[in-house]
Amino acid sequence: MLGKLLKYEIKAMGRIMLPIYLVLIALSAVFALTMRLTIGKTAVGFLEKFAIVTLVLFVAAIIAACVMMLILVIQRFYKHLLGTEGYLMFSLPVSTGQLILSKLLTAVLWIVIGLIAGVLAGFAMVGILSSVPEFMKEVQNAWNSLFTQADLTRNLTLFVLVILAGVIASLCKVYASIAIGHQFGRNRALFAVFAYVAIGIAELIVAWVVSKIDASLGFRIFSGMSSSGLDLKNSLTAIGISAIQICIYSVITWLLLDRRLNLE
Amino acid sequence: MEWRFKEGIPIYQQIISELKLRLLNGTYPPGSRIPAVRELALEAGVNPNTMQRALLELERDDLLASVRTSGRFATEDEEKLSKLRRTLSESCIEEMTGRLRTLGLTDKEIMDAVNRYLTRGAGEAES
Amino acid sequence: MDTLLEARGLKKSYGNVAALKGIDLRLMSGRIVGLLGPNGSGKTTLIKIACRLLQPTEGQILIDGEAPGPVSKSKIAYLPDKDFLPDWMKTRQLLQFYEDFYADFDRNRALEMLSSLEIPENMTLRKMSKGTKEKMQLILTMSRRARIYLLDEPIAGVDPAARDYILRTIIGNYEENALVMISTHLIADVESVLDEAVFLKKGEIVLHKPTDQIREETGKSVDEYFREVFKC
Repeated sequence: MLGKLLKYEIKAMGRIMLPIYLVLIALSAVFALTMRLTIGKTAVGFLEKFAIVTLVLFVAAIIAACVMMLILVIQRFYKHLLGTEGYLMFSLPVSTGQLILSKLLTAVLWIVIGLIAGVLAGFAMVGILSSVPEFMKEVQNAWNSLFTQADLTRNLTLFVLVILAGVIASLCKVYASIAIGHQFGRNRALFAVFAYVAIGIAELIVAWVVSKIDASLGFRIFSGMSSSGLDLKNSLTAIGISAIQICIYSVITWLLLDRRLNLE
Repeated sequence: MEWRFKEGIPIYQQIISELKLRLLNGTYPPGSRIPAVRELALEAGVNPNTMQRALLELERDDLLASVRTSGRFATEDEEKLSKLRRTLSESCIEEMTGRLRTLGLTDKEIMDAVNRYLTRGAGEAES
Repeated sequence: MDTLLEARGLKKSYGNVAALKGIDLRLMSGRIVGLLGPNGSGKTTLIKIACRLLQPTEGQILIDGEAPGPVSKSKIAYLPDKDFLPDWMKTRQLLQFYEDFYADFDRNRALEMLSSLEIPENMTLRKMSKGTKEKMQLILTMSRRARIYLLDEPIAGVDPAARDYILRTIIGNYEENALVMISTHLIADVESVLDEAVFLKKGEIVLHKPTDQIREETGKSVDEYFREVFKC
């Protein structure tokens, strides 16, 4: 049943995200091609203007993708699970856990696809702008500047895991906030925002208390939450912290939706 | 919905009356197959259970006969049918007579009125 | 006959407002039951608790002997009183959705009904008129060969022709040994299809009887009797 839920959720989100991602990649390619045409030419007024416009559109598309993703994550949960469409979803012969998991996994999937699309767009630009050997060198440089340490694979894996854990934790936090807001008959949206802020404050307090007990761990909690240092110890701490967040927030979400659901 | 039901009388009884009428007026000629329960229920706009109850009652009175797997059939028993016709017409007459009596007509006047109506009715039908 | 829906001391409050004040109810298979009461009498609340969309404050409800959960949900075909389908989906996708999630969904039955209404397979829900959308929802619900059908206000706000269509669709398609519960405040329109009537007044059951018994005992139609019981 989870597979079927995922199928529909992926379709529902992809309907909106996929076109945005495609536009993103297309715009980056158009920009790079236009720039390439200007190389070695003197009268390039129009082309340059065109390139600038595409660049602006490209940046706008990136912002749109981020904003749309945020809106969709909230909407798919708030409106489509706890709104009128919830009548359909919660009458399906599936468990509450499966419903939550389908939302979470789909959001993660589309965020990852978005990141890949972003990287592809970047590659497309650099690749078209420079010649191929040059481009490969650029890629090499990018790797090297990102990962100065010797063990590239290990760092890359850590980097991806830190990001992934952070993304999942953030999503769980959003879901938990919405589920808490749902407990308040009126002004559910407002209380969801309150809940989100309150959770954020609670996180800070926990981090502060921990830093009082163990200064170095406290530092890592702060840094783990805000940035992703590639030091092994820091990364593992960050992943651990995300894991704890994921556990707490998903249990809250599940309990509230399974035991205290009140669709109106 | 097609069939009209009166208030305050159980619907299955009203269905029975309607079905009896149909057995006599040629809708369901003797020996013919009666539509399936659900089909009849849909036509009447009633619950299939109610229709079933009415049909069972008619079966009990031997006005319908149920043949396993092939459905229900209208009775071919002439005696049953003429008895039914008699019962129904008697209740019509009873109702009419009752009403006319409340209007103050004597039995003789009722007879005369019926005769007058029948002769006039026949005359109208001819012209 | 099996007991398919049983409520024991069921209570539900919204804050200080009591929507259900202790409901005891047993509904059997093979019956069409009218859940009758004016707006705000608790009809929708009762149905939503049976579907586990609401949690009772006290008491319990059993569906075919079990507390509501994924198993009971697979047995209930529920028609909510509002638009509940994703409006971007096409007819074809909706059929696929129901087929995917409900093992008892009868695609052919749905297709038959859709073709008689001439609803195109690639039409999105958003493009349908209000009436067509409502029929679409009904068709999907009634195309399930479910044990229990819970239909919340299926005929509210529709014209007489559509009402006839809806009632015919219900009595023409429900499974023979299923329990059908129709909630409505429009009694005159449904009373000829009901086996039993449950009168719900301010969160309490004031009457639960076979409809023919009501007619026989009171010499009135269920609708007339209802008006008398609920006189303001």
